[in-house]
Amino acid sequence: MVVSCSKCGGEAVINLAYSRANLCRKHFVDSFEKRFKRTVREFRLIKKGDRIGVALSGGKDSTVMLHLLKKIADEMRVRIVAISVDEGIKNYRGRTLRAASKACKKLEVEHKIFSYKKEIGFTMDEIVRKKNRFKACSYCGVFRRWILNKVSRELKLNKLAIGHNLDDAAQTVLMNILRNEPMRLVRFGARGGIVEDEMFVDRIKPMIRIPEREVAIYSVVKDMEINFIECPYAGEAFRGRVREFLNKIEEEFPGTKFKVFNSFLSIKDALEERFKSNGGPVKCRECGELSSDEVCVRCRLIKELKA
Amino acid sequence: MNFSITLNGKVRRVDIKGRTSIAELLKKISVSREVALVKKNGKIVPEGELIGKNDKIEVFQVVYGG
Repeated sequence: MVVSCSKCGGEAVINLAYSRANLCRKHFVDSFEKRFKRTVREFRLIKKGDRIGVALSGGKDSTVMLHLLKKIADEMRVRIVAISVDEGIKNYRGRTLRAASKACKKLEVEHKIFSYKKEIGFTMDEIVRKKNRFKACSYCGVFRRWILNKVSRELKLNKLAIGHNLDDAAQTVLMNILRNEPMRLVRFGARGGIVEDEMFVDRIKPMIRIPEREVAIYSVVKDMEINFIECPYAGEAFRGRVREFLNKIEEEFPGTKFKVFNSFLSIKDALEERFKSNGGPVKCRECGELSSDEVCVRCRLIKELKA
Repeated sequence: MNFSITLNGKVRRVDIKGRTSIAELLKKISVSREVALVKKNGKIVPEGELIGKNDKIEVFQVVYGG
């Protein structure tokens, strides 16, 4: 028995449990793209004259985001540059970067690749050999964000698009509540990490209202060449547990992930008011990049690795 | 019936009843619908789709990160 599209009666490709709709390829693609554009409008993420870096790993989220941003960029005459970071993970990153390069060629988007080896002095494989592999994500997150901010500024970009989806957002909100670290949510959102400083490149997250599973299905129905392979070091235990928990709840109570994110949005202003800091960031005395302390986390971690 | 599916490219045998939906199959193999992408005879299908004994079913788990 074939499930029919709720809109046209055609063959459905997806069930959206939270809206009790089954959609065919055409209506799903329309719905997906409309929601992407609506997020861009709702949070005022893009305006004419923007020069946007697109953080592109070659995975499903960033590749889908690149495709959709390219459309908007052409319509609004906005410049976009794809930026990839090669962490130096054997049998993994090479493959995804090849997919990223292919996507950029197809879309005729400029593509820049930066490596951990050159910018940090170590590959992730080397870091994991030195340190506990379960801490890999902590090192990787710090280094990636440092590189992306620095190179985006050097490329004279005023915004950096990150492919975080609704699942990522709901997990982040819940993780910080569970850890009693609500202050970490102050700079979280569709326009994230906002620090008013010329050294900081604003982050935008146009996929933040879109469920992860729908991103995957969109990439498949649009025949995008994506490697669905997981980072061999992926193992952030706490996020993994929160992810499992949210997926279970979502199965039983569809729409929960949206509600978690919307709840956060409704208290965001109050969080900012409650946790606003009087001091702004300073410049790291080692590398000159923005830091909350005299020496930034990136430089401290490198010192640890060299020890 | 003893039915053959592929899960992330690997063949797996599952015992299913005559009229089983994709949703029921996913429960049977302990894969959350939130991380599953399912193809029936090469086409993506939603969870309400029923499985016939000659259907080729491929289940892919959506990986985190990207």
